[in-house]
Amino acid sequence: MKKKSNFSDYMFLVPAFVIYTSIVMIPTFYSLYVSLFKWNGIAPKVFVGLKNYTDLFFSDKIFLIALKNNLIWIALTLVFTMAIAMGLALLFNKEFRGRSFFRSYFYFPYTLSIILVAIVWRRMYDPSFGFINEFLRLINLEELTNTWTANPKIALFCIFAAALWQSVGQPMILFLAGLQTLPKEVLEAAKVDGASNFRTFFSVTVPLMKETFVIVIATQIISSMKVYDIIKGMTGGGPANSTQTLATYMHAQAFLYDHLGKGTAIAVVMLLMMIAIVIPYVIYTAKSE
Amino acid sequence: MKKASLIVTILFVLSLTLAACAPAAPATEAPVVATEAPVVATDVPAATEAPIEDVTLTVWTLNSRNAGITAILDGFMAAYPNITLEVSYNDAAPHRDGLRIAATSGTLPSIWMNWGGTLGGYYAQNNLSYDLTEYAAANNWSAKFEQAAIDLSTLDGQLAGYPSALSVVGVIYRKDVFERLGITIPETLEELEAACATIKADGLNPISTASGADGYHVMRIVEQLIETYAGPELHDAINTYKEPFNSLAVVQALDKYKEFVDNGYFNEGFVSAGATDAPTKLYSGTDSVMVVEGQWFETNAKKAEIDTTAFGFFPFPSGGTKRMSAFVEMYQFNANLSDAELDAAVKFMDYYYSKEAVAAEPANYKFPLPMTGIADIPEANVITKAMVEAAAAGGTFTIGDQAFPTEVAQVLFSVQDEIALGTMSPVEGAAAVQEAIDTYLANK
Repeated sequence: MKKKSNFSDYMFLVPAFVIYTSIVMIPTFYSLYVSLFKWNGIAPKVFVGLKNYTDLFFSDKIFLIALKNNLIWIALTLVFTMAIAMGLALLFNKEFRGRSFFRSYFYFPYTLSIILVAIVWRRMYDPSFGFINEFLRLINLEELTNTWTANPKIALFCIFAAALWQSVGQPMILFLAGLQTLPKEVLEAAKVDGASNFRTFFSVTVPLMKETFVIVIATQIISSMKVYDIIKGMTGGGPANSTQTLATYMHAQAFLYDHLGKGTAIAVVMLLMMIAIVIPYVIYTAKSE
Repeated sequence: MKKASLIVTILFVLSLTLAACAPAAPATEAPVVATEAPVVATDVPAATEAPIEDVTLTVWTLNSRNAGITAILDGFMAAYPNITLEVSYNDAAPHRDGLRIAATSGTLPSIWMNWGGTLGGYYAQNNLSYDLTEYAAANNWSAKFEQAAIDLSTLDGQLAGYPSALSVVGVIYRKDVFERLGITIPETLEELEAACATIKADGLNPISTASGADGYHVMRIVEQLIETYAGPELHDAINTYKEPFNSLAVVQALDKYKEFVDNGYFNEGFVSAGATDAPTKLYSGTDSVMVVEGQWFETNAKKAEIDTTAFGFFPFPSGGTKRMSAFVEMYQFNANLSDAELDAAVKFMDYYYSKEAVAAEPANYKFPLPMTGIADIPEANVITKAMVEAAAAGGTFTIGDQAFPTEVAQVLFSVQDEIALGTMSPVEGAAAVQEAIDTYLANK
């Protein structure tokens, strides 16, 4: 029987409501407001309407590069991060000696500071004395050496490799938690019916883990849209803006160039993109239940 | 209901993203990170007349100044019991960002360290820093400071800060490699190119530099090439927007820069190398041979226990008097300081840079000091002395990333990378920077 809420129940929500409104909602709507102005943060604001947005989409080459890079990052995350995290979760869901050690081992990079990861991998990619090129020379594969993060064609992928190493632990743990809640009798029934591991995974495991997938996919897309620290630490958005993302470009516009209107416009674009991608996915998933 | 609550949850998480970008967030005190144990000064400077009222000043400066300020802080507050100082330290980039945030939220400290050029000029232009022009005239600062320091600290028509350091940039090189290969100090650009070719043929890297996130490093070479092809007058006119950046001289300079890159005179992958690594590649003598760096190279090498007698210096052979690029560091004062607070702020700076404090711990100071009669460059700092003497003899120009505003400098850095990578021609690069200058001037 559903309990009817009374006034005192709502009173318990007031502190959280006040904090959320003052720290999240008010700055959010203020950012939306500022995005309609040309403003350096000190001089009086000049209303420009949607000009900041039209400038971004129609005359700002770097914004379009940043947007493309974010879409690439989302695609790479959904394919590689998810696949590797799920693979590791399936592996560590089985019983074997040393399982706890290996779970910790693969989760450990996630506990490291992203800037530390950026510094370490930046050194590893150094063409002169970095570990990667030195190793390739050592095993007589000098033809595979590269300038890595100095090569604009592959720099973004090099950074993604570092980010993948650092971040795979978190979705792995979420998938592992989801796998451990699966009813064993359903999986056994599938085995008894003669389903292969592959068929069992896609027809039984994945549908039963739908809510886990919703959370993991949604959070991975959101963090892909916000990617900043590792880009800043490894290349700063270079070489030649080839690794700029919306977050790094937003920071540059707002805090380096004092174009607060343009910076907040980029933030609004990021938010709208996340809403456009995540909400339909969540609704679709909820509907198909 | 379940669907709605899930959507609300997702929206909640998404809104946190937008909230993170909200401007005008009030700045809180910058984090204090002590890098060294406090050093006690052995000689306490004599106190001058103490202010009548109690004054509390907040100071923001860099982590690298921690040892120097900590050494004199207790002594200063003992000498002036009515003055209380609250000092915060940070690294360069977060310090700069923190100041900008504080500026937009009206929470700037009483005193803050800054660089000259457009970095410090932002605060002068927006009436956020105290105009010290009249104070300086009334207190005879023309005798107190080197004229170059006063000139470099005069931004937007006003004396924008208390000068605290003068830096000059030149070419540091490995003496042993030059001797072994029979290379003499280059006096012309052609001789420098010949030296690079000889070094390259020997299997070493001629010039260590960096770009990408640290585009200012290779910019030091690019601006010297501009000085070579444009000459001092045109170069100064370009830096002050009196002449266009996409002039023939600049295109020639960028062409020569591209030639250097294509000939392999810079370290491989320099477009994503870090500036802090550039000078260290000279330490072993088996990697790079030259670096374009400031006099801090000597101080940093000594701290790393590297034998600095292995290195020499020469001004970039840009022709004429071989001007060196230079910049000033200063401490700016809040425009809203009262007379008593301003007096206290100047007393603190005078105490920090007093003869006695510098003599007690010279390692805590960046030489040459912009103040006259305080301290000579320590005898052991041979390279610093040579650089300062060369700058005094040949003259200086304002370093590029301070001559131009940040948004123009960033375009220049990007152009440097694109030219090096072959995705942009020198003509297109010069035009791109000029476009950025035009946009900046139109918006100003």
